[in-house]
This record gives sequence, structure tokens and C-alpha cells, in this order.
Amino acid sequence: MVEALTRGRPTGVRGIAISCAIAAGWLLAQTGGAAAHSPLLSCFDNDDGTVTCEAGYSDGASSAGQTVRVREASNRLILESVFGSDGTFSFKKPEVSFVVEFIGDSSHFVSFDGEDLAK
Amino acid sequence: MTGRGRFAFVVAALLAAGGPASAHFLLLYPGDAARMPGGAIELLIAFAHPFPGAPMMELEKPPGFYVVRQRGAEAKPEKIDLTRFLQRIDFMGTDEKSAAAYRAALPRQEFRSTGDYVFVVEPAPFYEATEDKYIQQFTKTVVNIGGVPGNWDQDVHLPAEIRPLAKPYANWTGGVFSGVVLSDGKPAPFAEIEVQYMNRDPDLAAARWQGEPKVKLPHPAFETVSLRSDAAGVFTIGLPKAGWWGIAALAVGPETTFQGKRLSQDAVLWVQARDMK
Repeated sequence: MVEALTRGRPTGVRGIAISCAIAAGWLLAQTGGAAAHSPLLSCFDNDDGTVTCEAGYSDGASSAGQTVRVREASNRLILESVFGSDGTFSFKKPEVSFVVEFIGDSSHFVSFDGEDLAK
Repeated sequence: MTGRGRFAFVVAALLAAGGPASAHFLLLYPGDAARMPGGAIELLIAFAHPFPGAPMMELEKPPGFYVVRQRGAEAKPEKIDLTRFLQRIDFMGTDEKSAAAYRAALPRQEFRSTGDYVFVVEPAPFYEATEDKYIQQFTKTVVNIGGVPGNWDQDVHLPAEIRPLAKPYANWTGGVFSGVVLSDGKPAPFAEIEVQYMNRDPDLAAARWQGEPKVKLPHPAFETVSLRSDAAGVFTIGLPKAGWWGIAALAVGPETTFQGKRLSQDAVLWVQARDMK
């Protein structure tokens, strides 16, 4: 990429401007639309002994394939899995107090206290 | 009559014959628009003048009442018919006269998932005798549960529609809101738009407006804010007070007659502003 930028380099003020524009475009292309998104996690009591959690991001990005962990309140890991293609994950409701963790992209992290399950 | 006098007469006659629909707004009120999972959703559908709260107009059972919901940008939208939840009520106006309206209590477990819910009412044309014309207001209210966005900015392909350019459920008091007026899916340039503030909140259990008016008018012209969309159909309004703001783009739908009389197909969108605390 550096070679591409320097090959046939324009000269003078106009050349500097063009080079800056190309470099800025390259940087944007590398970083993409780095949205300032936040991870979101909600969990529901299905009233049948199971819990369903939904994860996503504040910009609508998907959580599919990203890590979900369920821990006891004492921090002991109960299970670890990934969110499905629809951003949901269901599991048997633990008989002890628990916390659900969504470990998202770029180390995004959010947890949900099992005491706050919505119906 | 002088030339100037004839002009004034013609303008007055035109306004009387085909003027704006006197700030009628079809309400599609869900309580709070930005919600957390688990709360029950109950909606009020009524035909009203939301600033004064009267008169209420008789609302025929809407033939179209549905939600299009979507969780996340990559998910597919899901359309759910809601007409089975419509329950007729008599809603009392501030003039102590009631009119037929509808409430819809949605099952908590079916409507708890996070994402955007675009609620839509497609009413039958309403005959407004004082104007000898029909009014049909295609109305949208967007609710979000849990913060994950979805289809708030997507069209639902109504004959008359407002496409939000900002989330209708996440607006701070004092901010602005923009949208695009659409006629049959295409931007409507210079469309006539009316905006009214809902000056009292509805009490669904009591089927009437509750509390005292939130705002006192400094002048009659402030009851209905009037503006037009620009050449691209875009408009921007301010939201100077927390609460619900109704936006109606008048006579932008393609059909202009119904049962031999004039028809105004309007697009209505409800936007909620909330205070920074």
C-alpha cells in the first residue's frame, strides 16, 4: 500500500493534498465504520424451567457466534457457549443465583443478573 | 370588486374548501416509546385533537392494525397482524363528550423481545362533515425494547408515510427531529405538515385524558405548528417539551376521492421527547 501511494507521486501543494486524501481514504478503509456501539443483553424467564437471553449492539450489529457464559454468583462457571444466528441463547435455569455474561467483539462485555429476569 | 379584493376572496374560498384538516390526528399511543423488556404494552388508538383534547371523533374499527418488528440490522423484519387485540372503548374528550376509540393490550410474552416495533394503523376513511370530505390517516408509532435497534428507519410501504431520519423513540427534550414525507413511497416535495403536542397524557384505564394541560398557549397560532417539507420531502421540527409530538403530512397519498367526495390521505408519525435528568 505504501508503494502504491508513493509510485508516480504528484508533486507540489496539489500533490500533497492528493496524497493526504488517498492516505485518509486508506485509513478509513482499514478502520471501516468503527461504530461506537455498546453491547446489550436481556434475559427472560420462559416459565418452563428455561431462560432465553438476547444479545446485540446499540447500532444493530449482530451477536451471532459471540461468547455467552453463565456463572454462579460465586463466579464458578456453569456453562459457556455462543449466541445463535438470531442473537439468542437458551439454557436450563440454574437452581442457584446466577449471572449471564456476553463477551462481545473488541472485548465488549456486559452482564445480566439472574435476579432481574423479565417475564 | 378590485383585483386585490378578488384575489383575497379566491384565497379565502380555497382555504375554506380544501384547507388543512383542522389538526386531526390519529393517536397511536403506547405509553413510553423506549422501554425495557418485561413491561406490558397497551396501546390507545383514537381520533383526536391532541393539544386541546377535544373534540374526539368517532373511530371506526381500523381494518389495518399491525406491527413490523426487527431486532438488529441484519435480521429480517416480521409483520404481525394485531387486529384481534382491538377492543372498542369510549374515550372521553376534555369537553366531556366521548367517541369510539380502541385499546389493544398485547400479550406480554409475545411482545417482550428486544428490538424495534413499528406499530401501524391503516384506518378506514373518516367523513368530516364540517369539511365535506374524507380523511384517512396512515399512522406509525415506533417502540423500542431494550436498546437494540432494528427497522425504525424502514418504510412499511403505506400510501402516505413519514420515514424517520432519527429514532422516533430516542429524542432529548430540546433536540430536533427530521423525517421524509413519502407519497406512495416517493418523497413528497413541499408537503403541508402540521405538528401538535399532546397536552395531556391519555389514561387508558379511565378512557380519558388525565391531569392538567402541560402547556398554555401564548397565541392560538401555536396550537398547531405548520411547516412544509423541502424540495426533497425532508422536514425538521424542534422538540421543546418532553412528551409526545404528533406530525401529520396532509393530503400526500395518491387517492384524492372516496365515495364521490374529496379524500385527504395523510401520513402521521408520533415522536416522544424525554428530559435529560
